[in-house]
Amino acid sequence: MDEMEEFLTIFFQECEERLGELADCLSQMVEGDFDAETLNAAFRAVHSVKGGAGAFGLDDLVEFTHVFETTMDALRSDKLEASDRVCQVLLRASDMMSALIEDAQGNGDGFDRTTADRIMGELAELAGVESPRPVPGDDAPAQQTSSKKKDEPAAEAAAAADAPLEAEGEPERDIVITLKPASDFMRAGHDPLKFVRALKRFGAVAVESFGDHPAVDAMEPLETPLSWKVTLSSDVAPTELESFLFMYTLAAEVVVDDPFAKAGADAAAAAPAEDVKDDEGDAAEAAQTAPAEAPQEPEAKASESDASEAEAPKPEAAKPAEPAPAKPAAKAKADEEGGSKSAPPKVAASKALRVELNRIDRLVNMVGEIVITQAVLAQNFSELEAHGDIQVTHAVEALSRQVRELQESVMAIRAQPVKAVFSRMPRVVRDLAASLNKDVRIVLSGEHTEVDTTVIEELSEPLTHMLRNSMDHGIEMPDARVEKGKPRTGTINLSAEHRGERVRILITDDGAGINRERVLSKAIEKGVVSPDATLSDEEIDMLIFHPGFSTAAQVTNVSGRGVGMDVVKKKVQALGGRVTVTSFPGEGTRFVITLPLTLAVLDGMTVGVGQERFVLPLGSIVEAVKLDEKSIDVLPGEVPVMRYRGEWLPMINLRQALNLETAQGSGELVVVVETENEGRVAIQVDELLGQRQVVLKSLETNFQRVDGVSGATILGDGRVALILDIPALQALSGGGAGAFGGSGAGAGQDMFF
Amino acid sequence: MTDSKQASDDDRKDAADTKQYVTFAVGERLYGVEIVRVREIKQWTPTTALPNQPHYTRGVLNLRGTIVPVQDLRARFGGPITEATENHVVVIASIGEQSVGILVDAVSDILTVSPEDVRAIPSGAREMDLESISGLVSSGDEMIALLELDRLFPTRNEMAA
Repeated sequence: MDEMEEFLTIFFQECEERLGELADCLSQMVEGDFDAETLNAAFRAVHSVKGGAGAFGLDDLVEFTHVFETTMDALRSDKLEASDRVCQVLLRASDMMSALIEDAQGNGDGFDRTTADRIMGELAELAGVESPRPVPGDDAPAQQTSSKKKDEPAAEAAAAADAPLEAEGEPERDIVITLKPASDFMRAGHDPLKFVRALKRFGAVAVESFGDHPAVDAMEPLETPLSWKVTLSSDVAPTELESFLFMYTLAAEVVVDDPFAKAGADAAAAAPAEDVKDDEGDAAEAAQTAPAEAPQEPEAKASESDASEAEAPKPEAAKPAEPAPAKPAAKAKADEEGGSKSAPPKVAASKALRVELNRIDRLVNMVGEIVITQAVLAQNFSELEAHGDIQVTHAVEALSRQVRELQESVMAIRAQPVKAVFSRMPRVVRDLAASLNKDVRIVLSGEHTEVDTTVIEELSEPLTHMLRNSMDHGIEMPDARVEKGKPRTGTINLSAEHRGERVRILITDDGAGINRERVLSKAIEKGVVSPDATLSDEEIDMLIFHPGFSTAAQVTNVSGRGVGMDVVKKKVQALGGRVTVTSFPGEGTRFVITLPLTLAVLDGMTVGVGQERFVLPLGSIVEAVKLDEKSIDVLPGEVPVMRYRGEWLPMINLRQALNLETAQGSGELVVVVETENEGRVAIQVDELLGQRQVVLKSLETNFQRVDGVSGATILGDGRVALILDIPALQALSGGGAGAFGGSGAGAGQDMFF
Repeated sequence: MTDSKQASDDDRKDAADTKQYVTFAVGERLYGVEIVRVREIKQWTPTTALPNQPHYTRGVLNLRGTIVPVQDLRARFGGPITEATENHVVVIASIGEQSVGILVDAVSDILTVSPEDVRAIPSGAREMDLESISGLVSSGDEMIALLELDRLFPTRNEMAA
């Protein structure tokens, strides 16, 4: 049992990778920049998921991937052209596939079977085969409609597919069903008589047979040389009929001539070949032949290759998608044969090793220890008499260099391209675009930027929130965009890049920008800002990150509960990062998230306050100056400020802010620190103790989050020093708590800025 | 005081029902923590104070590379802050996945207790903090309060909204 679970875990990990590959391939296809190799890779990705799913009896997944695979195969054998619409269907299919995988893993919100069936139907239709699960209700006609618009923008097709169900009950009309049994019709358990009888309930009024039958003595009892034509007079919905006829299509050629389906919402999926042919030209040609041949195959597996090769050039594309348990081995073989035109590609196997994260964590911790021990050693050594010994000195220096290198290499193990999280975003955008009825595309860049795994894991949620925000509030409705002279389709750019020791993530949209008037009036209404406050544009923009703030005119299920952007800010700050927003009214909005590359090490400046030691992130320090009493002033409300190069900076006294009961020190130094959101801040300390790389330790491992502190580290002498979180400290000290008049407790304060 | 000898008597008795407790002294009082939860006992070393914590949270210490909070048991039960010296000890115990250091005066004994020896807290004596005591055991003339660490030092680790 355990072993099984282990295999499953591995399988799901693999699925993740395959989905990633698939997403890559599909995005290349969407860009129109792909070759046979891309298609093969995409096919393989789907195929290996199917294989694994079969082995684990994940029937839903097998069924879906099978159809998916069939479509991919039609593509790579040039039977299907990678048009825009096709790509959109494939993208949706890959989303659905990942939903199915999540579902199989027992997480995720489950999947929507109707959607799955619909997508399967679309896939099957593209490949020109039958969907194993014809869509009930009137979705099918909608699909068929969309198929007519092959060249229209995909979103429209999607909209058509999502169109509300039409009312049941169609007008009564004459429907003619023609049944041409295949040679194995009877062996498959069918019987023409039963067929006719069953049709009675749909209101069969006339039956006639046609075709030649051999002389009685030459007649084979199990052969059905005659064909049948049944005329119904009925008000049955085309789809209902379709689902009834479906089982017959596997062993016979079934043609439905339904005047209503033709005239109105189009044909029944049970006979796509005929109707599609009527409606369109060449695009359906490939599909047309397929179902005709297809029916004979499922039961005639033994002779499959011969028979099908003779009849159809592409055997398994023509094979109707059969419901669940596929036979992976046999199938794989068939695939190879079918795909032999484009020679089996060599997988450029990247040499990778799957290692459990906690083993790496152990390694990282160990190295962290070594870094600390090394620092202790170096410190002790410098105080020793042996300091003069040149050889020992060299050895200690070499050690410290090697330790640093070791640490970097270990950190590199944990680094992962941000692609792991970026690649999930197109799906978020597509899902949302559909539910918001907006046209949005997302452009990713810099996906290969590497960041520590822990950062990656935590990034998904804030990114999703921000994309949602951009799509809900930023990007306008398509018509509104056209009116403004913008392209109908909105664009969101998501990019990542390294900036020194940090990684910068940009989310830019070409929407309407932040509606500052509305934001401000809302903020005043909610008491976030006092009515007579004058805020700069930037300050107004930053208000969207304020807790409990949302300008959505109506609460949508997308955003509007006023939690989104607040959560983003919290999450990013918890990662030691900052988020800022810049808005260009009418042109768009840009969010910038900067994050540390790793959460494990930090270049810090150690400062002393009394007996206590604190670490300030080196990157944020602007400069350290000697305190000049004359430059200090106190604003009403006991807020101390310091004059610094012509501006007034809020000043934080660490003793007060942290309630330290430590010996009074000189307090003669001031470190000016740049915070990303709230400008510069002056921090009063007693002494500077030098800069060094520190290993970040979480207080939450054994305790809890502490306000004003982002973590802790262990100093050379083994003592614990706290790493300060300046913006949080600022809020704590109450002094100049940003432009929002104090968050929470200090809400009643007047505004000074 | 019939069960006064139990500590030595019960050494042979196996784990099924009995539990062993590490007992320690804070002033005149004795407290016990289940031995399986005690990871180690350390001499007191100065801690690094944390801002804005309850007065009994003495700060954090470095336990071979991990940061462990130290709680002052005397202060936790309403006494004054302990003037910690080298003679004081910190009992490192685990609460779920986390570790906590408990500052006490001295470790006194290891006690084997069977469930029937554990007395409930007299109902009349219930006070605010008694929830964090799971029961009372007597040993000789002493009364030992068994600590419920999760209740005594709860942590909040979810991101407060």
